[in-house]
Amino acid sequence: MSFTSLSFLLFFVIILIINYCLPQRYRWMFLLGASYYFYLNWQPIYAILLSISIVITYLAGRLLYRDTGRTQSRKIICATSIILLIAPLFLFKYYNFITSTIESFLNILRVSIEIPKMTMLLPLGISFYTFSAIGYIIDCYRNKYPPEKNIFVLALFISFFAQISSGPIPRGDQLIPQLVKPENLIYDNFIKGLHKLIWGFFMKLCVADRIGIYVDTVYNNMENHNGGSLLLASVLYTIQIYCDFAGYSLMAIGVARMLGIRLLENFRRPYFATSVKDFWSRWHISLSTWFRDYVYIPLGGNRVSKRRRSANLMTTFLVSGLWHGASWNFLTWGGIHGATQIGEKHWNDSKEKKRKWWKIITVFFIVSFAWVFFRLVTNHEIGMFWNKLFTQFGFPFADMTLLYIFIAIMILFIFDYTAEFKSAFFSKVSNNFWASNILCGVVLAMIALFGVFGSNSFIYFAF
Amino acid sequence: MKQITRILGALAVIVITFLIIDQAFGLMADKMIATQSTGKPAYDISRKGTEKLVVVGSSRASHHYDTKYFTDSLDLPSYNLGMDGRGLTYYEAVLMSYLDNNRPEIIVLDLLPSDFDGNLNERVSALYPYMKGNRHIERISREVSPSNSLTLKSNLYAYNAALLPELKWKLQKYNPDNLGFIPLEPKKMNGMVESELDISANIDSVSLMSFNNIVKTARERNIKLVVVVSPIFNKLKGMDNFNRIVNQYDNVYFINDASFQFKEPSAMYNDNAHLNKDGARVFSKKFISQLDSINSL
Repeated sequence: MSFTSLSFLLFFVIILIINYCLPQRYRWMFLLGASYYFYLNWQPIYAILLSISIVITYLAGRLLYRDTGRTQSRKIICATSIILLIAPLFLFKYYNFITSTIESFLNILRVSIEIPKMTMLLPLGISFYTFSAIGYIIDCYRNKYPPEKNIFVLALFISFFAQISSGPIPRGDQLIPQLVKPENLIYDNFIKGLHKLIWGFFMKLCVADRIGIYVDTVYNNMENHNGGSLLLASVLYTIQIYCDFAGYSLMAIGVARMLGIRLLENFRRPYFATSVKDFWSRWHISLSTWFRDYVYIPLGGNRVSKRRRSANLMTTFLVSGLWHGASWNFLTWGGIHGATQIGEKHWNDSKEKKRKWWKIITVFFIVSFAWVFFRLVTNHEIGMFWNKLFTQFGFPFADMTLLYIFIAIMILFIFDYTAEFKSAFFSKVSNNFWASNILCGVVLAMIALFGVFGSNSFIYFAF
Repeated sequence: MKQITRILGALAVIVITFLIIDQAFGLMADKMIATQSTGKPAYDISRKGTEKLVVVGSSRASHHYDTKYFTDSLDLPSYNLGMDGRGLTYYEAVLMSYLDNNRPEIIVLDLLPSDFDGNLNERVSALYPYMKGNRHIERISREVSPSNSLTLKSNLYAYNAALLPELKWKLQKYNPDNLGFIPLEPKKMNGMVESELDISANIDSVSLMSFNNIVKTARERNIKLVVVVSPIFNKLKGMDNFNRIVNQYDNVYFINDASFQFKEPSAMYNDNAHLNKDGARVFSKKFISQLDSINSL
């Protein structure tokens, strides 16, 4: 049941009606049932795995609370529970990568060995809910907030249907109180949530999926396309992945807000970033702040020597690359982001000032360059991409899809530009009853006319 | 209560705005596109001709059967309903609409086994703007997706898949003089490598239903139905399911020309799946001789 499917819309309307008919104190129970129904609808068997993660997280939280003051025992509880939570993630996501790497290494040494492979599908949202759970345990370990007493409330925190498949990754202190006591039905939540949901649909169906047609046509048939087409496809992919993921996040935030729950902001117009560091403060915010709080800062963060700081930064981004997928291309992608940020720190130290738009364009192309390693998986594909770019450059393949893409990107640009640079006007329009709702109706009409329907998958579901 | 009234008011504004745009667009689009279409699909479904043979299929049908040559040189009036990137649901919709106004003696259905996998079922959506008053398109749209009976009430949604092709047809100016045949200009095909193409597709029930409907209609109207796999550069593998489906009907004649041997293949193909106009001429000649033997049965 994807957010863009009719079955989800029907499911959500029913949820909304029942949710607001129930007394406020019972709503979380209903939402837990709905969340499990949503997850069971995807992959019933993996609901067991999800439940095990919830039990581990709950027990870890309670044990950490019981052992307050006993540092050593708390450390053991924290480490053990994190290992237990990561184990399924490791098995499903990284086991094959590690065994293939070992096999390749042994092959170089002329030792032929075949290690059995994991053939089961990756459970939906495993990376996201595992990180939510780990964040909760570390917060409890740090005494940031007391652990949740009710296991079912914690279960809803980890499995809440709006965010389980692709985030935003929640924080316990931010989400749990809202789940227990969601806001009542008010205009500000319901209609603003609806606006976000519809704009998320636009980003996904009119921009991401439309671009996907062009990108897939070129990338799935690279042999028959020249360097110009590959370059255009890679620039378009940069926009596709943004609209696919930010669109999903907006839908999740919108759905939750319509239910009276505010999720964390996940994207803030990342392609208007003026540095790669700035990009990461705008892109997948819930993940980048997670890495900042639970990886970068524990490693020493900024309070160490310059060299150590660079190493910490690189480690964090390599782990971030690995989080996205277990293969060398994701590691390369993380490495590029880590390296450019280290370079930027040096750049900033030399106090070089550039014009804002020049910086924005530069960052856009650096990020686009890195996305190539994200999209193209095999060395053969990556090699062909660069080879064609430099040896077979020509006029890009063009068809009528590009016209739709151009129109959709222009609308997106106007929206993001206004929100970024004309924020006063933007908030005036979004707070005006007539203007905001009429615009919402117009966007809905554009989705009906220009949207790509039928494909219900999101790029980040694979992670 | 005030909050609920405000929410209902906002929902009403959104819905009314959508409906106004939808209706205005519908009026404009029906006038400018559906009734004045210069595109091949609109031309095909409204055609009134006297041809004896009609070809239906996807791009391979539209590029491989030189119906102009059949008509002018072989004295066999023919028309080609082939259309790029379509599936069996489209073939059924366009053929049934065509049969409402025409009485051909032979239907040539150009297929590949992958036509039965259902991946292209949705592509019948190119015909949705012409649904008003066309019971075939209306029925097939519901078979493809039951929710279409609701969503296609929206004019905007009905034009969703058709607007871009219509714009394309406006720019390209479809030329009906070729009787539906779309010739591909030869291009240099260096280094074409023959590969094996596994086409053992899963059988989709909606696609199969469309095929069955075509067979049934041909039988009822006493029209000869010839299923053809026209030449393809790649070697086909996994034809079992396809052969089983096609051979179960006694009124279906099956011609498998997939491995048709050209003297100089690289001069006949435009890519691994499509013949250029020279290849189409050679194949059309050969095909007609095969058709003669069927006609004499």
